[in-house]
Amino acid sequence: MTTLSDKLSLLWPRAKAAPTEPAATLFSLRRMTSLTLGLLVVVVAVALYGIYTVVYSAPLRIQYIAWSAAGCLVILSILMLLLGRYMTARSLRHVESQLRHLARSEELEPIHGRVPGELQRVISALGDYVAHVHRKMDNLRLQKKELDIQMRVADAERRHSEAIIFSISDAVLVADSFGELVLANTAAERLFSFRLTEWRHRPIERVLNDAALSDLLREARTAGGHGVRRQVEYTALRGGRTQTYNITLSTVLDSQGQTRGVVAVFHDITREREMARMKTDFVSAVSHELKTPLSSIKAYMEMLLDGEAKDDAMREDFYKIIASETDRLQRLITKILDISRIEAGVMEVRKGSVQLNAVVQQVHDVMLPQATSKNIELTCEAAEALPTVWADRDLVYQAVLNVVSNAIKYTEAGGRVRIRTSADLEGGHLAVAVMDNGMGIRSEDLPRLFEKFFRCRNTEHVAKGTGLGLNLVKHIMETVHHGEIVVTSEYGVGTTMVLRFPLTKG
Amino acid sequence: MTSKTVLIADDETHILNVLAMKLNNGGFNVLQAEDGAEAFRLARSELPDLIITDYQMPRMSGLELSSRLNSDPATSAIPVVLLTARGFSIAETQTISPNIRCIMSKPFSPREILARTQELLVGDIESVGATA
Repeated sequence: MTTLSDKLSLLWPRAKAAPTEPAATLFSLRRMTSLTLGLLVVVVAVALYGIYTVVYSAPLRIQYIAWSAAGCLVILSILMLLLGRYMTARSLRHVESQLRHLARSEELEPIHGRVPGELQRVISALGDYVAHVHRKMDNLRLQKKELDIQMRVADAERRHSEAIIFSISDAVLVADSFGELVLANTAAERLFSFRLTEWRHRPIERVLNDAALSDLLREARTAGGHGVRRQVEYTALRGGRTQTYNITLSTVLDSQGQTRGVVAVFHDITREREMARMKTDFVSAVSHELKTPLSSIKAYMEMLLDGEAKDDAMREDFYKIIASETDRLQRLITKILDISRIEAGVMEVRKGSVQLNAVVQQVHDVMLPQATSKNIELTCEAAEALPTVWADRDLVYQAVLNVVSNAIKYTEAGGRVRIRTSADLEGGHLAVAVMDNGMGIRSEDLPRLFEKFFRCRNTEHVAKGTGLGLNLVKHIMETVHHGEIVVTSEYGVGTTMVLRFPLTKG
Repeated sequence: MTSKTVLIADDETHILNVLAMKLNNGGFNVLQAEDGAEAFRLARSELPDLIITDYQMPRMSGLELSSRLNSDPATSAIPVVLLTARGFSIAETQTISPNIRCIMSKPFSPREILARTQELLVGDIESVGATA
């Protein structure tokens, strides 16, 4: 249990010596009382001697009276002394009990008590002293309250910052100035396969288990006031895949500019890199495809300008080539734009109830002259009572036309192309199947069939193509209509492409 | 003025025709191939004085054709002009066999092709007004 002196020593350094002061005063009081007592004894002795000398020669009766008076005087003096001592002791006990009460109590109260005049001064000084301690304690209590509030605010801010760090998808690692792990978010735990609860305050090098990365962090930590923030690119093999990260290393400095630690944020840029590469490949492929018809246009224009065409017939041939290559260029640009629009989700889609039989019949009619000129039999088998589908008629027409056009392109003369519509009401879809007995697709080409600009090795010399048609069909079927395109093919035997439209409106 | 033979290879018929016509009018004999494999076969059998080939062709690319011709002593001396429609320089991504004397980008000028042919085969510097 804390004593008053302990309390006081906590509150006020000088207070440690303070309890001795009232004790010394009490001690001097006792000395004063003893002195008075001694003096009283001397006075009484002198008085008794005086009485003895005066009454020695007096008659016996007077002597008795005198001795009785002297005895009474001695007894009275003793009683007065005892009474004085008793009162002093009682006041001291009262003060002592108040002090003991103060020692036990949380509150500091002024000391009261009816005590003799000399002691009253001591008590008053003690009271002032207690009041002073009281004020000090009140101040300290206020300061403590303020510090408590500040601590709570700091704690809330720390939790808030941690919540932010934990909610971001980038991996965040924080190490202190000794290179020990202080904080890591869930993404970092996942990236480096560890648990923060197990690895906190352990060397970060052991968590990372990567010499190059550890060197980077050590370098940032020991850089001192230099290079407070910098970015490094880092590539590592994780889970069998090469991942590229953009690491932002920030040195944490205190107010004196001393390094207190380092924060490393790992931003995964693998996907961005892949996208950038795909974009470059796409732009490169597009530019190649655009330059091909443009080359013909430029070359024939120059031939005309240089007067290389011998006669009108040749000039007309040149004009026709220029016109057809211009059309090709335009078709190519339209296809690229359509694909881009669908991919970006900005294609204007106008859906309505579409009768697939009508679309298929239209495609059949449009493609028939081309099929006939190539001596290919083109037939159309429409299912009866076919329900309508919720679709964009123009896009459906474009998809079916593309597939039928491909079938005619890659089927040799004398071959056959069949278009057939059907309903699978249980499966919830309508289908347009285009079947040919053409050259077929090699099995190794099938997985890449719908890639932009992909052309099968065995067919690219057979007919012209951009490698964009089937990509567009796939987008029309899947992205726009939530349907699918299924290809089955046997090399040298033929190909069947089925476009499936869901019956649900959507 | 000359009876030198030029082999041109491109999978685009219009390009083949226009180049053949320009070179014919310029006084050269012209051989045509629609893909790399056919060009390689023709080059070995006919031993032309110059080969003008597209970079991207079916069956065998222009680079592969050049490299195969270069490794055959019978055809390694034939200079090759490479036409490309690619958006970047071939030199940045591929190793080029030494028989490729010139790389020209598409769209090209038939006039420039003729001038370059003359420069390579006849050495007629005055008629050359083109650069790669």
